[in-house]
Amino acid sequence: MNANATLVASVVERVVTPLVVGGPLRPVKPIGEARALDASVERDAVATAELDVARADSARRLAPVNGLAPLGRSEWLLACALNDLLQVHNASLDDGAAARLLSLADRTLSHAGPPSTALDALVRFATFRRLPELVRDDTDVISAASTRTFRGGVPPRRLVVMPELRGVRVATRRVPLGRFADDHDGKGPWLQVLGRLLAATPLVDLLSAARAAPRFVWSGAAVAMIAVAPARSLMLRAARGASDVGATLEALRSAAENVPGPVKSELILPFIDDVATLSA
Amino acid sequence: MLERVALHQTRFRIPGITPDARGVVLGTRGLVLFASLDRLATFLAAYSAGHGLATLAPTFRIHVLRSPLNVSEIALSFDAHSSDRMDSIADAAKLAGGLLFTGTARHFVEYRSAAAPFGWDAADLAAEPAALVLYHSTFEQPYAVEREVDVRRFVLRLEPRPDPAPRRGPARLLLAEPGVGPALLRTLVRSSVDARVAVLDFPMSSDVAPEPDRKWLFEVPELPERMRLFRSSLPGIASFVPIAPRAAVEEGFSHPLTLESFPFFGADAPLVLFWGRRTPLEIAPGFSFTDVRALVRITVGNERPRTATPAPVPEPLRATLRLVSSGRANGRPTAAFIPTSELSLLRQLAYVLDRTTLTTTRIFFASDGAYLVAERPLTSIPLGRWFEGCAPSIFVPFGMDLVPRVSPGMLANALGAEANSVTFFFPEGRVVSLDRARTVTLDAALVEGVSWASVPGRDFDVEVPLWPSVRLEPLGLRPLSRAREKASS
Repeated sequence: MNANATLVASVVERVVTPLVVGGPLRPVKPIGEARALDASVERDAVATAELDVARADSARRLAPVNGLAPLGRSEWLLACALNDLLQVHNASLDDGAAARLLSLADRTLSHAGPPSTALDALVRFATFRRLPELVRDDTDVISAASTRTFRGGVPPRRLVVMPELRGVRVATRRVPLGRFADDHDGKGPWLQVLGRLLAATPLVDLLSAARAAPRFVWSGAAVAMIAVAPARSLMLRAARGASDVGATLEALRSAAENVPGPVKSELILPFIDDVATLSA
Repeated sequence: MLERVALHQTRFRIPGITPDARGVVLGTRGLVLFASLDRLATFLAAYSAGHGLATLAPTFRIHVLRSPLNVSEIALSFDAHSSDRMDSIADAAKLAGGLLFTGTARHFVEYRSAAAPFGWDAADLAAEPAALVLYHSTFEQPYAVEREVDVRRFVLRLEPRPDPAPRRGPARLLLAEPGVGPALLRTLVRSSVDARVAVLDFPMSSDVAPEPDRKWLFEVPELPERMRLFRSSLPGIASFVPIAPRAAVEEGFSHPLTLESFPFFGADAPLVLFWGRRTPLEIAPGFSFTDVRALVRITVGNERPRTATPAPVPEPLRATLRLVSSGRANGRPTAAFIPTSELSLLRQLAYVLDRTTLTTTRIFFASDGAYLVAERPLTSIPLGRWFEGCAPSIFVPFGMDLVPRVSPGMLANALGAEANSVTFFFPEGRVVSLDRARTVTLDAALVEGVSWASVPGRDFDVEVPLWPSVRLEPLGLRPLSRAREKASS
């Protein structure tokens, strides 16, 4: 198995499958733009029945499909970008490396682009539906002298051994995706790239529109989706499938304030009205 | 000069107008002013095409008006009723070039328009003692009433126009001259066409005519297509197409108005036949139609009816049923009798029988053996004696036939067979009848009873999807060593 095939297998096993099926998601070492593009030709090499079934199950929430094609190029690039985006907060990276990795993730993301068809959007939804559900278990090791936070990692045993004797307290907290960068210097740029990743999957973006951060915006991909009848149906189903439709409607209306007139009045507001009517 | 009416205005100079629920000022009457009678006809045609006139038409009054300048104009007045009705009349009046007014007695003011959504009121009332004064935004005119025109007479005066594609309903009224009436009656009876006929006398067309003008009027609810000759111009017979309960138009013409909207042509009104190019025929109610079959000439014979005497009852003619060789080579053995001695062979054969045979073959167990009845030939079960059906539910040995060959129903009656029974004739003269309800399918008979053990159920937990949680592992030395931008080409 060549290096690219090994990379694809690792990303599918450690990133894509846990993202779709659930479970611990362990990002691989930073991939970067060049390797993501090189390995994109090997993406068909790995496909597991578990992943296929889970993706089809996700897609069936919006459309009656029997199955989906294997992981496509755009999904692969999005998965690589997600891998690098999550690794930005790895404690092994200093600030400079983290900024560079964030830039690489953004460049990888740009190659995926927005979905070109309704089917493309549905396929992306099938793979990244649970992206907004991503959490990270951060561990705080609190002593009388200091508090050290281990983001998504397990603290070294030497720090937590005999806690009572050494006066050390270990606290674990579950951090949602939108707050991954809360205690990080590059919070703003990181959230921007995450927003672009969500915008590249408009159905997921709409499904999680009520999230706290990054705030939902009417991206070009989302507007294009509601402008075409089949894609608009998918968007309607996604919006109605949100856990809190009222908050979703509020987020959609709030985001519409920043959209220029004709697009807002002819596409977005009628769509929001339809969502409200169908959800009433 | 007219003034626009304001919302909630309650006092007006024109007597008898008040605002309705929508705030539109209305009098009790509406009036449409036309320059000529043909404009009035256009208005009636346009309005009757889209609206029923059952309540409106009885209130119609047509007056010929004359202005001080000796100009004659036509006014159609009616009960205003509501602004909704007035709005629809205004639309039709515009099409016909008429002006719509509203008022109660002498003074009529222009009905509302886009310039005055709630209507108009006059600034001053005209002082002239005219029979009618009309106030319009462009003129104010007193009129004298020259004469009144009867609405029904006016409608009857409108001539039908040639219509290349007239209505093609099957019902017809045929008006026949006295010379061809009886012949037409016989033709209709001979052709089995349902029709009714009445003989009508019309007033003499001239003073020198010897007798009243007599016509035969046939009402044919459904004139067959093969008799379409009667629809065309057959000399002495004119065909009319009913377009209202009491109005019909000559074939090939259509009336400019939608006559079914007018109450003048309702069920109790005189029947009006509109000729294409002649004065309409008006037939007063009271005449009655008679079925044409009752008028066919009946011949009375001279001979007395013959009386039949009962003949002596003959001896019953009975014959014994017999089985004979049929001599057929293409019989279908769809039943079989398997004696008890061969049932073990049937059990062994069951292992190789196809599913269709097992599910479509029914078996009846008797003391002497098993009877099989199938929907398909039982050639796959070469056991016992084959039978073939000579009638539904009656089976004779394969290759034999039952004589005399009476009908299956008669045979069943003769045997006293129940409706749900199956009868087998054996060559030795034995007849066996089975109750079909007690047969079972072969597969049900073959499967032995199995004792089933119940499996206790167990509770289960709802599967909670695993949360995708990120775990970051140490990246080692030079963590970005392989992460690079794409080289620019």
